[in-house]
Amino acid sequence: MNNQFEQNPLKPTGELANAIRDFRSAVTHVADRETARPVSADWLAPARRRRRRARQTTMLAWACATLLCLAMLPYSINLSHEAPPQPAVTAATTAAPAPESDNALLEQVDTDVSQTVPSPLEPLAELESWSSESTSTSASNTSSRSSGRTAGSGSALSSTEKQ
Amino acid sequence: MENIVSTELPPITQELPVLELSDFDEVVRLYRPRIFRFLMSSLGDRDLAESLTQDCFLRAYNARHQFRGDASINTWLTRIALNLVRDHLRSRRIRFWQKTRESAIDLVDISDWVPDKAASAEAAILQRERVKQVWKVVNDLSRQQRTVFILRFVEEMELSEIAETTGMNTSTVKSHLYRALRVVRERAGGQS
Repeated sequence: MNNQFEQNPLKPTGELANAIRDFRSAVTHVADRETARPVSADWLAPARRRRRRARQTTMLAWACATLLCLAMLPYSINLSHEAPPQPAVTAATTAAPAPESDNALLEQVDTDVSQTVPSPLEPLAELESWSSESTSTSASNTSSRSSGRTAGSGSALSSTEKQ
Repeated sequence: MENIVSTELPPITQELPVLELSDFDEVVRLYRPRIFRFLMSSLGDRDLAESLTQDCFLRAYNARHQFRGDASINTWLTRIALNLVRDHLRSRRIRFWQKTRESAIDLVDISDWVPDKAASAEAAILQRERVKQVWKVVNDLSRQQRTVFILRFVEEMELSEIAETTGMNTSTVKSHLYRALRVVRERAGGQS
């Protein structure tokens, strides 16, 4: 009973059995047809060539891998030795242009600090100074404005105030 | 039959053609159709099956001194063929960029196969279609299910022989066979 229970699911019946039987028949037919010709004397020669080529390919792959490892060895050694001084080198390279950039930055800061109003508001500031100094002439105003503009926008108001 | 392989054959040299060895020639003559059939039904590719059949017999010849006669020659050769199939499928998976041949059912021509001489033309066409369908389903099975299915229903091996050939235990073989049959039954439309 137990044996029957185990064997039955593994034994196809009916249409499935016929289909599998036909499948086997067709496969056997094709195999018989393909192997009907007797083998020639050098029938195994292609297999031996393939085997030799596979061995050569494997050896070549191992040789390439070994060469690659050997080529990478000096680089890895150099990297491990040169790793600590590397930040100092970068610090030195960044420190070299620092004075120039600092000077430029200081000049820019000086310019900005000396400017009492932003340049778009400069005409208004001049108007204000004009109204406060009612005695000044338009000619001197014009000359001071033009000299202030040529010297820098930031010093225009200060020069007017000095006058 | 076992003496055919275990005879003292001279070693292969480059000058000596392999098939001048009459005993191994007999082995090839007897087992080549079976091994070819197994490989073709496993891979669905006629040319590949022929190449792997050659590889199988070359390996068998090179390893003939390791054959102790514990299993039959058929089981031994089928085991070698099975290893070749496994190696081939593995290397094909690695070389995924290569275009694999669309072989399977269309390349294996069964047009001149006459299912049943007494059957009508219409019945013969239906049978061919059914065979194609089974072949397609078998190709879609997992590798282990397909192997077990083919060994059982094409090579007509016993479950213990399949276990010996594949290296599985018998219950695993039964499990794979059961699942394979269920898939074939569901997809090929057979009713049992």
